[in-house]
Amino acid sequence: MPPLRTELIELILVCSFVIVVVSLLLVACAVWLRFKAAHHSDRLKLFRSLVTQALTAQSDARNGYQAALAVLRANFARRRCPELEQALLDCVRSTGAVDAGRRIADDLGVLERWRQGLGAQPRMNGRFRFHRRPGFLTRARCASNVAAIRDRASWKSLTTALDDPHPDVQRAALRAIAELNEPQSAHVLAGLLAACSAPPLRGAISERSLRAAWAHMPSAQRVQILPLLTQSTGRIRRLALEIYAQPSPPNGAAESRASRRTPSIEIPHSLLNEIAADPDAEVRARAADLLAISADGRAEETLRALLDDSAWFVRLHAVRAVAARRCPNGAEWIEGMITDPHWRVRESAAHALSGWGSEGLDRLSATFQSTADAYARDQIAEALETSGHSASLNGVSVEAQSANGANAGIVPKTS
Amino acid sequence: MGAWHELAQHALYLFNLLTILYFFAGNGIYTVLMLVSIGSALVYNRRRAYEDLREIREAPSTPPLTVIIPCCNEEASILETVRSVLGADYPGLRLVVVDDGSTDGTADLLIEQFHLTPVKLITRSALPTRNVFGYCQGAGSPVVTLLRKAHGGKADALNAGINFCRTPYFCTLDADCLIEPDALLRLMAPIVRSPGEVVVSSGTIRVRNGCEVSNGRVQRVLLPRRRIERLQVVEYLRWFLLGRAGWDLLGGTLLVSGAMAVFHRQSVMDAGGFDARSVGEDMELIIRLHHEAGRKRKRARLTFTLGTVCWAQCPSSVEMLGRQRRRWQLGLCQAVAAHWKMSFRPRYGAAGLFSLPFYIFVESAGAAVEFIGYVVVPLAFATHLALLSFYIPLVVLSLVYASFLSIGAVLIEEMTDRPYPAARDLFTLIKWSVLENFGFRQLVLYFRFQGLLRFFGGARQWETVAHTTDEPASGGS
Repeated sequence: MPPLRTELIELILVCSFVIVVVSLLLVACAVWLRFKAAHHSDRLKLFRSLVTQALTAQSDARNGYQAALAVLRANFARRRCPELEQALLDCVRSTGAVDAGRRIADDLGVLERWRQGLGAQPRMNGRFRFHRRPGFLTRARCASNVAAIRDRASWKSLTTALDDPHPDVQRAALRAIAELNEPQSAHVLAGLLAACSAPPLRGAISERSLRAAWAHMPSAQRVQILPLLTQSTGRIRRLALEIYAQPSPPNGAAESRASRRTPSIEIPHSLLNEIAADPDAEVRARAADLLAISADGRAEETLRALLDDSAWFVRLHAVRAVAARRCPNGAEWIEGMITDPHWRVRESAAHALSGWGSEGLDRLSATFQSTADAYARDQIAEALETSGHSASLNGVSVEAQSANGANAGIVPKTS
Repeated sequence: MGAWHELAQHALYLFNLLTILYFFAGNGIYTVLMLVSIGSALVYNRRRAYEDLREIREAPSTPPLTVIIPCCNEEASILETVRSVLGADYPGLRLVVVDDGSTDGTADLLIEQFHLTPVKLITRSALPTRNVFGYCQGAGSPVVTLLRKAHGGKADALNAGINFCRTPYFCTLDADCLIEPDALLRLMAPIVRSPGEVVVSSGTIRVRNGCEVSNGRVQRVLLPRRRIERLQVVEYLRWFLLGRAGWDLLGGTLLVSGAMAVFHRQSVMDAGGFDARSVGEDMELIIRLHHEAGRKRKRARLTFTLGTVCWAQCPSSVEMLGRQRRRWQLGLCQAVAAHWKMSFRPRYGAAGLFSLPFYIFVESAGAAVEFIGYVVVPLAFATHLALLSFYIPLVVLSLVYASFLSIGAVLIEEMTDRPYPAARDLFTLIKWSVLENFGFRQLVLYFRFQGLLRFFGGARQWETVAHTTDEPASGGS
């Protein structure tokens, strides 16, 4: 067995020394970062107050604007001043003074730098002709910044950035295009939608990102989606319908969720009929959602047909749509769905009837007594209880027991 | 006697080789993880300049989310936790508190504070659980549901919550944790932005002890007063900012904190839910998700965000620390033992090739190697089998290396969220990064070794860790 060599011990000691030195360097880095952060914070405060002054001077139409700009310029000598950029964006976001902020960014040359950072192409540089281009973080940041100050001149560069090799830049560009809200943006977004024949979408743009981008577009612009409803790929038709049906938020998601049932623009009934008979069940299910908010009276007959669809989730969407529309014969149609082979359709039907008023409650009660389907009874009981009609449930239970014997009570699965 | 001495020398020589191999393999991997994490922190910091959480909040396509809080006898902390969730910024949020057979006033407290009323709902048992007694629901928004069931352990309670959950994603949250207001948005961001393959999303958990808390929020971040808690702050930094961030970038995330993580419901159900027999149910599930993805040849991403998402309580006494670490080690051993066949199999990606072997050989077996080292070396000295001139430099190197890694974690913290605002906190953390190697590390090793022994002894029981709530202020709670 070889003895432990002295060299090994020396190596261990050298390693220890090196690690101690590196640890001290790490400590120095941490301390430097802490001081840098404190300095950054102080500069940010200073720039926030200066930018606020410049914004106020601009809105007051006083002559102080140029003076405020001069003070701002005097406080940054370097080519790029992250504190100024952050302060400018913060102030624009908090005050909503987008136009004034854009003017300041333009006057200080910040906007030009963002445009360059976004639109910069790989270029030959120096005698060795190597490629030099801002990193993906810079490109994505620039895309986000030009959108924050609504720089319409950058729209073209943003559309080019959709083909950027880095997914972050693609996502930032997509979001920026949607936020700029230019009329021609809908065409670009529709193009992206049309390109998603197979997952993933172009580059790294997810379906959800695309839908979020469409949510920023005005409802009238969604007419660009209609041609996609006749596309040969089911996935595109489904996605197009989902985007078409989603609300466009004027001031954020709260409003958008509240106005979810507000129709955006009407789809021609012939087209609606066509998509309701689509070979793809996912598309038919989404068609039911659109039928629920369609102003056309003929939509009800189409919905009636969807209640007999072979796919359970189409029937589920149809039940919900009938309940949402409050079709004149809707309660009767839904009553028939309480004994649907699929439990989610039954559940949905029971809940729909429990919220239909006295007619719905009567029909639930009648079905509870007449049906031999224990699961349907179970779901009726649950629907009545959760909708606060437990009093009617007690009555129904008694009636059911007397009508169908001991096994007609609530099934044991109910807790 | 001479033969015995020679045999002992041979054994010691082999043990030395094993120790040196273990040391360089373990610390080498940790160093790689640290370098990767530093790169990750640099990118994370600059990404924050353009990644806007408003997109997630306002998009109609953002999926709804159910937060599941399993609790058993948590009346001291449950209200703050529920308040922190109710104050979270997320559209379409639901909350289910699963009362796992509490014998204290946990359920009554929730019913009283949040005006919950009994409702009768169908219990669907897609995942098998102990008996569910009933449900109570509130009328406010987000909807709070209290699910009461027979005691079956945390995994069983989580499974009951998953059965009740109707949203495509759910978030598990421990009953003693406070979430950051934008935590759910941050955790859902990678899910919303990716084209659909993210099955788990987790973030950095920090120590809540010592912080000022009111209305379910950490109002002021302070370092804890007790030494044992401060030492755990350094540990948490090392685990999350160094370990998990590194594994995330390498694609080998195998450990997700059960304190708070978002899961894709269908993927979890397909994998069979949380294993009620496992003490480390979170890790076991993650390995099973990797296993399922590999078996089905599907791509399943597990993401980690460096941002702080949650504040958890750490043990304040040696006894509770011991219980926690024994349980963690036992859970780790159970999880890796159940899935060791995935090791070195390319089918399971980086998790099978790198992470699982690392957790088997370094994190699980490493406790034994290190502990035996602490026993064998003094014995070797006593019997004149070992040279002091070799062991002292080796011990110095191991202590220096351990401090180096902890300091690296503190540096990464400086590069990211930097929650401890006072400049002296930085020096305190650096100080404890060095001091933890003198006593605390050995104590934790002892608990880990006990956990390992319990694993080989076939132990399965869950050791409860009681927390003391001694935050400086708890106004409004």
